Formats: sequence, structure tokens, C-alpha cells
Amino acid sequence: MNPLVIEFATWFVFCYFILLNGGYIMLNLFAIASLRRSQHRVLLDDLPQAYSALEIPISIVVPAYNEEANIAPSIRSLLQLSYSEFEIVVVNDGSKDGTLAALQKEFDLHPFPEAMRVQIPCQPVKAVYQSALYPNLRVIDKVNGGKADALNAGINASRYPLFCGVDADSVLQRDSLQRVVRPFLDDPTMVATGGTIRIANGCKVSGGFLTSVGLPDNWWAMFQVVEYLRAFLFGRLGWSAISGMLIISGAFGVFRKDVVVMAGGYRPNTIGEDMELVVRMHRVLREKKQPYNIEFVADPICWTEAPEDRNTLRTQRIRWQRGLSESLAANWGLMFSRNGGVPGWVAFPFMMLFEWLGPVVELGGYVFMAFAYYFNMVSWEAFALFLFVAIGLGILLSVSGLLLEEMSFHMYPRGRHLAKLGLAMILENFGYRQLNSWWRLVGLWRWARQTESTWGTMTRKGSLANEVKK
Amino acid sequence: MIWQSLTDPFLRAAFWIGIAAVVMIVLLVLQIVGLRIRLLRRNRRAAASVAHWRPVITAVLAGLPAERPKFLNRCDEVEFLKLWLHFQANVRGDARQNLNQLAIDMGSDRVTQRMLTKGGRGEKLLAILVARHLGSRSAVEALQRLAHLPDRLLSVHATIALVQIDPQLAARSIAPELIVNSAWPVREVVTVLQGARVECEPVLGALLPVTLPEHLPRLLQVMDGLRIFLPAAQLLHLFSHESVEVLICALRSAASPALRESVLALVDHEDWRVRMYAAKALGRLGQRGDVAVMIGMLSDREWWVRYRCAQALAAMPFLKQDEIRQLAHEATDRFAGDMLRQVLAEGGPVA
Repeated sequence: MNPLVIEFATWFVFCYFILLNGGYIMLNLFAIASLRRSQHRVLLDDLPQAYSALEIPISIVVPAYNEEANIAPSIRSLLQLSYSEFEIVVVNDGSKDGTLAALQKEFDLHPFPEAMRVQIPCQPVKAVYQSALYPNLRVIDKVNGGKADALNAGINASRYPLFCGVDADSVLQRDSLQRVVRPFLDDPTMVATGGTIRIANGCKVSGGFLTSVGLPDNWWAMFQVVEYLRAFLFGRLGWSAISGMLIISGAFGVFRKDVVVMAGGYRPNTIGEDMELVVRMHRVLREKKQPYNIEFVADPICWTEAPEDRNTLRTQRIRWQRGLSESLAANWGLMFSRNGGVPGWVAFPFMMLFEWLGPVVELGGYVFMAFAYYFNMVSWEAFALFLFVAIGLGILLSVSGLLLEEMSFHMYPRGRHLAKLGLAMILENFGYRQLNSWWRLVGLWRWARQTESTWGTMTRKGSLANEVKK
Repeated sequence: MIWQSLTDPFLRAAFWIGIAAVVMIVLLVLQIVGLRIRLLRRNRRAAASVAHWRPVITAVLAGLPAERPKFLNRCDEVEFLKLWLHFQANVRGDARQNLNQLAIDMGSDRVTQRMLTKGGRGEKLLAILVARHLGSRSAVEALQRLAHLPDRLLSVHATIALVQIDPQLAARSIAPELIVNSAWPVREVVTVLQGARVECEPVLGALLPVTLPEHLPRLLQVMDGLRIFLPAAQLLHLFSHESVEVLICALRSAASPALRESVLALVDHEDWRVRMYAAKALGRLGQRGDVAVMIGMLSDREWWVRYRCAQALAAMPFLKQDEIRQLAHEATDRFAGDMLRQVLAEGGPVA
């Protein structure tokens, strides 16, 4: 092979890794600055009811598809949230199991003759039920149309100016709504806020709430704890600090209803409906030159169960990559647009270059270096140095995520938790990250082939419903 | 050494980047350990402070003698005030007076003054809450300054404290400014001024004839929120205003039968919000003869107009539930019938 080609490829891969990690380190610095600015929150959180009189009423929309095992405990836990005025709208999206029956039995549901206000088109609603036990709980039973369609039906049925999308299998902190709504009280131009999602595996759950934080024994879940630390603490916090956040997790996010309706609601038949909506909101609001803000709330407020086996994790990651691809492809117009600002000129290109195309270059880099070394086209020093830099920077980013956690929330109370997290941060670089890149590449391929998208099914231990997690 | 054998600039750069990463990792790990040690120390100090002050405060609440220092140690200030605020949220009567006296004896006034001027954002909020509970007149000047800050959390709470300590001053100095400051949502303005409603009435009333047209809707909305009612003659004048927002405010405030004709003139307004508030107003002022107009509004293209109209019909004192049910049954428009059925179901127990 031409030595020039080898040299070019070597430099390309090397520069890509440096740019990628340099970008993340910059985000990390923004996140540190943002956390320092919000240090006063530590004191505010201890003060009684600083905001209660000003809270804006919220509709919590819970889309549910085949959630028979989890739905009742989840809703019971939501009903106990500490917030002055909220309603819960559960949307049964044509479940094939006993989801509706479980809700009817647990909450004494009765048909309610609601004249639905259709602001966003969705699949037909079969019936609306209201709980005789909890006046603020309604259940919408509709024809199956996917998660985005279920969310749109929930928005149509919601009665308050803010709505909060919550996954049926998540566990919220009791004060999560109070925390995630604060940016709306501080800034009248706020249109959406997202909260931190943490892994619940290894934690103890009682009465629908998390009572003790721990780490999982399962290493698949353990690696995901490290990933979530990185993704939320410096990924989203860093982007939020420079007003470039493109993702609000579907598991827990609050939106201004009128803005979402104006943007057209969630896009049906999409996997990454949560990200797609946020990117579209950026695009539409920037086109209209309407001042707005989207913020990330770093407090750990929503806990979710992570997959503990390879197959489920693989399926999840493939779906996420397809979701990312769909979200970016549907909103190309934002990139480098005239009024694009940070989302259009920095966040979107970054996402495209490093998150969307990342697996191609990352895996390509590993394969190329291994190939070149095997065929004596690069020296062993070059090969070893490539691994040294790639792994070193990978560990550095993970450790910086842990530093942010320690600067802010100290969720993991014991020294051995820190030690175990440290070990996971090293081990994940030897196989797990490469495997992840492979799955993302598969996701990219499947998106390119436009395979049909449906609700994701995930094998869960269901331990959130069984109260205690191992 | 290995780096001496690396002649290729690419390899040398890679080597030094790797070394830098390792050094950074070591430094970050050391910082994490340092932060954890500092956190443990801080928690221990806070726990000791709470352990010291909790029995003192409990004894003071019960009016029992308690051994206590003459003034607060600087390192105890925040923990003491936090604990004091938590007790404040749960006590009334003599116990609250004892609690306030304890704070005064401990020099909280001086501490809050310092925090209000020199403290960080958290300390400032803490001091505002303490000053509000103590009714500290010495804090008024600092509170006035904080009430004008762009930091909404601080300004909202400083205004609430000011309203509680000196409602007259708050009505005079803050209310006119809040009317023209669109960064404050009307709902918040109403919430914070609620405690100075009586004092605000003449101030806002005097603003009415001199307010610029662009601020008139906000002024009317705040007056409506504070339940400051305008005379029918003044409202009648507003019904001919060209601004939709002003019309809405006039409709919201309409309570006199003398305004019925003016309300009826707006049921076909092109803006659905005006039609919706006209339907609500008819629910208050309408006569039996207006029911036909309202039945027509039940077929409005806008959901909110139909919903509020159905609610207004259901609330009319001379219409019985059976009559509403009959109206729903006889409705030729499906949307009208559905809406009446929903409103009937909302009104009664779930059947």
C-alpha cells in the first residue's frame, strides 16, 4: 500500500481522536463552570418551600405499551410527587397485555365522556377513563400508534400549560418536578427543560421511591453507570451551558405545551422522538426568530433500569443510533442556518461529526491500525501509542465525569463506590466501548436501510415494581 | 528512554498527549479524593452544629431555659438559620415569638444584613427569608435593592418580604415598576402583591388613566388578579377598546348586568379568546333569553370556546342539570353535545 495513504490515514484517525476528545474536554470545562455558578443551589435545596407559591401547574404524560408489570407502581409513585398542582395522563397505546386492566383495578377507573381537543393529529382514542380515587388521574385508551403518537394523544388530553413526558418504567425523586420546573420560574423564555437520568440498578426502591443509592454487581449495568455520568454530567450540562442542548431524554423532560403544539408535536414513527422534537423546536424557533431557552437540570431526578444482558443492550444502542440519525436527518435545515446560533453552528455539526459518524471513524481507526500493524505498515510503537492515547483520553473523560459528580451531588456515598466506578472507567476501554461503537455502526446501517421503527421492547428485571433491586 | 527513540513527529506528539492524559487522570483522582475528604469534614461540622442548636431551639420553643452562647459563631450561622427556618415553617403563636426572640438575641439581624449585602446567592435568599419572618425593618433598604435585581429568584422573594414587612412602601415603590416589567409573568406579580392588595388599590387605580396603551392589559390583568374591581362605567369605556387583551380584561371583570349588552356584542368576535371570555361573562350576567346564543357558541370551531361556554351554561343558576342533559341530548351538533356531557361529568361524581 502507498505509504502516503498510510500516513494520511494515520494522521486523519489521530486528529479525529484529538478533536473528538478535545471537544468533550471543552464541554467538560463548560460543565464545571456551570456547576460552579449553581453552587448556591446546595443551600437553596435545604431551604423550605422557596418556590411553592409560584409553581406552574403541570400535566404528566405517561405513554404505556405492554407495561402491565410496572404501570401500577409507577403511577402510585407519580401520585406521591411533591408538587402543588399536577395531573397524570396515562396513555395506553393499544397494549396487548393487561396494562389497562391493571390500571382499572388499581385506580378504580370509570369511563369519562371527554370531548377531546385534537391539537396534534394522533391515532383514534377509544375511551377516556378517570380515577374515582384520584381526581388528577386520567387514562387515555387509544389505538396503537407508537410512543410519539401516544405522547401526542397525551398532550391533546392535557389541561395545563406545561407537560412532562415520563417513561412508565422510571422512578422519579419525590421533588423532581419542583427541581425540573425551576428554570421556567427563573426565565420566561424557557420552553423546555430536561433532567438527569441515572441508573437504578443496584439501588434500593421502596414505595415507588429510591431509598438508597448503590452500584450494580452486573458489569454491563456498571459500564452504563459510567456512560450516564459522562453523558449527563458533562455532555448535556456542557451543551446547556452554551445554549446548545439538542437532547432532552424522553424518560423525563418538561415542555411548554403551546410551543410543542406550534412545532407540530412529536413526530410519529420515529425512534428518537425525544431528540427529534428538541432539534425541531430549535429549528422552528430560530426560523421564527423567537427568543427561547432550553436548559438541563443537573440534579439527579429520574432513575431508570439499565439492561443487564448483552442482547438487550445491543438492541437499545442500535435503536439510539437510529434515533439520532432520524433526528439529524429530519432537521438538516438547522445546520449552518442563517439564524442557527450555537445549536446550528456548533451542536448540530458536533453531533453529526462525532456522535453520528463517530462509530465509522472510531471502529475504522481501530481496524486500520490493527491491519496496518499486522502487515508491518506501521511500527509497534505507533500501534501502542495509538492505543495509549485512545485509552488514556477515554479514561480521562470518564474520570472528569466522576469529578463533576463529586463536585456536585456525591450520589455514591462510600469510598468503595468511587473505587468501583474508577475500575469500571478503566475496564470499559477494553472491549465495551469498541462493542458499543460496533452496535452504533449497525444502527447507522439499519437507519440507512430504513428498517421500520416500532416501540422498543426491553428485557427488564422488573425490579422497580418488585421494590428492591439487587 | 522511550521518547528519545521516537523520531517521527506524529509519534512524539501522540506520546506527549498520552502522558498529559495520564498526568491529568492522576490530578483528577487526587482532586476527587480531596473533595470527598472536604465533604466528609463539612458534613461532620454541619451535623455538630445541628446537634448543638436543635435542643436549644426546642427548649426555647417550649419557653424553657436553655444554655446558649451570646452570639452566633461565624461557622454556625448558615446551619443555625437553616434550622431556624425549618422550625419557622411549623410553629405558630407563642412558640413563633420565642423563636423570633432567639434569632434576635443571637444577632441574626446583623448577620442577615451582612448576608443581604455581601453574601452569595444562597446566603442572600437565606437572609431574605429570615428577614421576612422576623419582619426586619432594618432590612428594608437592602430588600428594595434586591427586588430590582434581574435575578428573578432573589427579586421575587425580596418583593414578597418587602410586601410583608412594609406593604405601603412595596405598593408605592414596587407595584408600578412590576406593571411595566414584562419579564415578570402577571401570575407572579399577582402572587407577590397579594399581601399588599389594599395598599395597591389606590396606587394601581391612579395608574389607570396615565398608563401607556401597551401596558394597559398588564395593569388590568394584575388588578383582576388582585380582585381590584373597576366601576361599570369605567369598564364600559374599555369595551370599546381596540386591543384584544384589553377586551379580554374587561370581559373578565364584567360583573354588572349593565354590561350584558356589551358582552353580547362580542360573542362573534374574530379572536377566539374574546369569544371564550364573552361566553364566561354571559355565564355570570346572562338571562334565560341568552341561552340560545350560548347554545350557538357550543358549536364554535375553537375547543376552548365550546368548553367554557358549556361550563358557563352548567353554572347558570336558573338552568337545572336535567335541562342541561336535555340540551346535550337534543344538540344537533355532535361537538356541542359531547362538550355538555363532559362538563356534566366533571361537575358530578364519576359514574
